[in-house]
Amino acid sequence: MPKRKLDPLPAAAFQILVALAGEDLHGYAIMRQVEEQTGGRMRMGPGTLYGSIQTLLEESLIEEVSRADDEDSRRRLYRLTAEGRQVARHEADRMAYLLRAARVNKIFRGDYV
Amino acid sequence: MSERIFALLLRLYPARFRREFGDEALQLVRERLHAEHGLARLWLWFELAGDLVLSLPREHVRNLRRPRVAQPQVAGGGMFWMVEERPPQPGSFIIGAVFALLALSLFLFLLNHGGVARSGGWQGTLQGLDAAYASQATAGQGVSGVPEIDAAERERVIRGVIENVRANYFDKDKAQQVTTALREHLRAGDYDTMDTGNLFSATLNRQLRAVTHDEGLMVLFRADGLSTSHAFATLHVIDTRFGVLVP
Repeated sequence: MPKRKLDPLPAAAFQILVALAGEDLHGYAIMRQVEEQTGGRMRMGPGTLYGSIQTLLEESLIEEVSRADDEDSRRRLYRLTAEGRQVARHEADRMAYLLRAARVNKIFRGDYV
Repeated sequence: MSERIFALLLRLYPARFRREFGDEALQLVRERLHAEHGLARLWLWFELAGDLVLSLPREHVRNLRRPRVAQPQVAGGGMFWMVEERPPQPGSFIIGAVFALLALSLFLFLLNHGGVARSGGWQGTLQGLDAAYASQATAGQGVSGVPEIDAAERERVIRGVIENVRANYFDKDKAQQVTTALREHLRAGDYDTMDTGNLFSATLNRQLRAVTHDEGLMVLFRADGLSTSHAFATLHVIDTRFGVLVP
């Protein structure tokens, strides 16, 4: 894979890509989904969230779909692109590899992960 | 008032960022202010202060790397370039300085009291928040002052958690221990004063982890309803607002 601006992929960007893997979401829903999938550990503020979204848009890893509806024209929906899904998959594979290495070296000492 | 403060803070961001995401950012903060009350709202402002400190320099650096002009305006025989940035209002700097001080104070507080550096990162901070909720419950006070859940829902959630853990958790011994522990807590009336979903779910999560040491096993609460589609196949929905993640 060619070197890109998001290599290595920052945690916030990865979480956004994972959040969008299930469905198109607007910013607030992305923030809530990330909070849910990290067990409350990561709650992105608007600066971090939209800064990451801007970078992901520039790298074509996500795309803006359309304004949700006329009543709520301030909301924009974002969608994961095929390239974005590939990048997220690559990062998830990397983490899975690290997790296997940690298990082999008995890092968890009997606790299940 | 809170929205006005955040709107002033937004003025500290580059014009391009404000034009692109300003409305959405304001809407996001508006929704969080609506959803979070009491201690959670106070924590929200700390989070916003920290986010400001981290994201503001990054956005200005990003902006410096781009051309700082808008589209050229053609008039007569010449071209006039419009300067894109206007200086922020003085109020923005004052509010920004206050929040920077708040963020610094929070960082120093957490550093000295083992929040970030010693207690496993944000997890330690969230555990401290859980403890704050629990202490309020012990004192017989709800966090928000407005009852959000009742005894019937609490019992339904506990029953749902037990059923799902017994059916789906890989370690059957731990599943039995969870069952015993939650039933004992319920019988002892430990949940009777918990009338908010966040406090109730945080308490259940603490009790689940005390038994299993498994951070993947978790009760989720969403006041505005759980999302019906999500990235995790292991979420078992108990009712419209509560679910349990079983790894």
